[in-house]
Amino acid sequence: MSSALEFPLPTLGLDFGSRYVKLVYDPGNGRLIRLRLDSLEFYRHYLSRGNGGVTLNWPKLGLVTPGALVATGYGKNLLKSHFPTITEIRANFLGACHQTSHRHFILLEMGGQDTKVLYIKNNRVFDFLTNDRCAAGTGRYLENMARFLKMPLRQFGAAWQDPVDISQTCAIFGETELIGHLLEGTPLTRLAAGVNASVARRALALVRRYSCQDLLFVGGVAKNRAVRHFLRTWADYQVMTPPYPQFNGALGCYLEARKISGLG
Amino acid sequence: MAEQGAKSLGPKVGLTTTIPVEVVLAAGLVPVDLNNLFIGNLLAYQQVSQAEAEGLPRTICAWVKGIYATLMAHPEITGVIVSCQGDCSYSQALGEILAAMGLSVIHFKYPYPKDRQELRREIAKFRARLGVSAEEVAKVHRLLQPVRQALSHLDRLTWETGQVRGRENFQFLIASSDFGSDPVAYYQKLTAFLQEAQTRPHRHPPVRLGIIGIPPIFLDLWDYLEELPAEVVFNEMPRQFSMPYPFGNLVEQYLAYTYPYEITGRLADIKAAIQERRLDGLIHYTQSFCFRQMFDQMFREKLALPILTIEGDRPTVLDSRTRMRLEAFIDVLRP
Repeated sequence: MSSALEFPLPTLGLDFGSRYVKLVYDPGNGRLIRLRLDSLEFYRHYLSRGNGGVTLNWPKLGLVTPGALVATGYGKNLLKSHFPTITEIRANFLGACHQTSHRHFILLEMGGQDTKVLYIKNNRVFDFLTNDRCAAGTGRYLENMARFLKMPLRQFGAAWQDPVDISQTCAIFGETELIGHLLEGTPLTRLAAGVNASVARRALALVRRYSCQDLLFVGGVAKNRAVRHFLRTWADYQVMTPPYPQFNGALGCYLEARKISGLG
Repeated sequence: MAEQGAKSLGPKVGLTTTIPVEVVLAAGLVPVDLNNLFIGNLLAYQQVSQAEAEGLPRTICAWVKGIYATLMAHPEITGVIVSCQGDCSYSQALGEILAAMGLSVIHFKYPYPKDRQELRREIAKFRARLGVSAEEVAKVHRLLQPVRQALSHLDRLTWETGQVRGRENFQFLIASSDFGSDPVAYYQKLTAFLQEAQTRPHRHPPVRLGIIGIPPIFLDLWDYLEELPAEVVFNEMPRQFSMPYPFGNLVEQYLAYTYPYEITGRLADIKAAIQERRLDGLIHYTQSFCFRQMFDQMFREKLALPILTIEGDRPTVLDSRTRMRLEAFIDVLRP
């Protein structure tokens, strides 16, 4: 028999990405709290290693210790021995299915150092692709380019008009190309548009392998309006972006944590 | 087919890929698959660096650099058979470099497109070059039949009963290009292994995989897949190297061999394996800078099965990104 004083425990989904750690936290009332922390900061200040284990500093995070936690992302191996983990593909799949009523769609996730494309058919992952061994075309690449042009990321991500051609072969040579254009006096917004276009082009090369026009776009890069614009106009995709695209993987973990704790 | 260079041939002859080894054996020579010698060396990684230090570009296939460095480390191998058609253009250039260094280089050319008459002529030229008769080669071909049958049996125990593991399957089949340079010892080892394997309990892996593409350069791929857990029950290329065709004729055997010819032959072979071996998914291994990477999209279009494409460059253990992708792939396939 349950006691009247038995409170529902908080549930947490944690996505330990290459750039940011994303948390989706349910204090017990179903109202989700989303936190984003720099991965290095998180590692240094909120995680302690010792006695052969890893502990998370919940008070410092301002959170009550969760009753259930599921983790994913590049840093998940660090947490593996203490918390259940799921693959990034599964986490993103779960998060995406929760955020769309479609049963047949392409899920494009563009994060800090990875692009993933999942082909979802009949509500299951039928196939997936990830980018080749190259950093050009990832979130980190966009950040570096924005920093290089000294443009705020938001402004950078809004540039889509009249893009210059960027050959996009390499994250390092991409900068060299930009210098060339700068010296020719090309406006910054055209350069930013060119970088955004090159990123969209790389994503399209993966997305086009599947025949489906419904595209759910998540991950940090989904906040880049120019990339969204190019995906929409170049290939006629029905591009859907959920309200918190960067938290899609963490949401998937949260849903899995609910399932584990018997709530989901 | 022309011999270049100054050194005389034999008794050890290097092979850069699978060629009609029956001719080499009939000539009384000792075939040494240079790929296997390279990857079996604990210093394989350093060998690639050594080849680069000697001038081979970073942006070419590491297998070719490995073969080059292996030959430098084995001066007793004075002759090499280079497949100048049906393998890759890197091998062709390697042949020229080796010839210029004084090695005896013999070219063997698989006809492209596939052609029975041309293959017959090419094998005859190869025979003539090594000075053996058709009868002598036919005899070796006959003598090798029990070995090839035993390899087919080993392959069957991999996918049908699960008594042979994916890694064991790979190791025996990949070594069949030169029968470990000693067909008799190889056969003894194989039969002893089969005897033991047949006593093992049947295994039913949760995820059944096929690996297609050239042999992976990763050192721990099969072990990691077993950990996940998934079992490789189809090793496309190593199986091809074992010539799993019950033909009484050498020409027909090397005509049925899919590797050197058009992609359609490989597709048919893979489709049959998907059905017969009840595969859940395929891993397409591609080598950095290899032209065969271009076939990836074709596999995706023609094969109705989830495919994960992985890419390797140098002989190393799996990198964390590839491990992550393999883990996710197996997770997706798991029932």
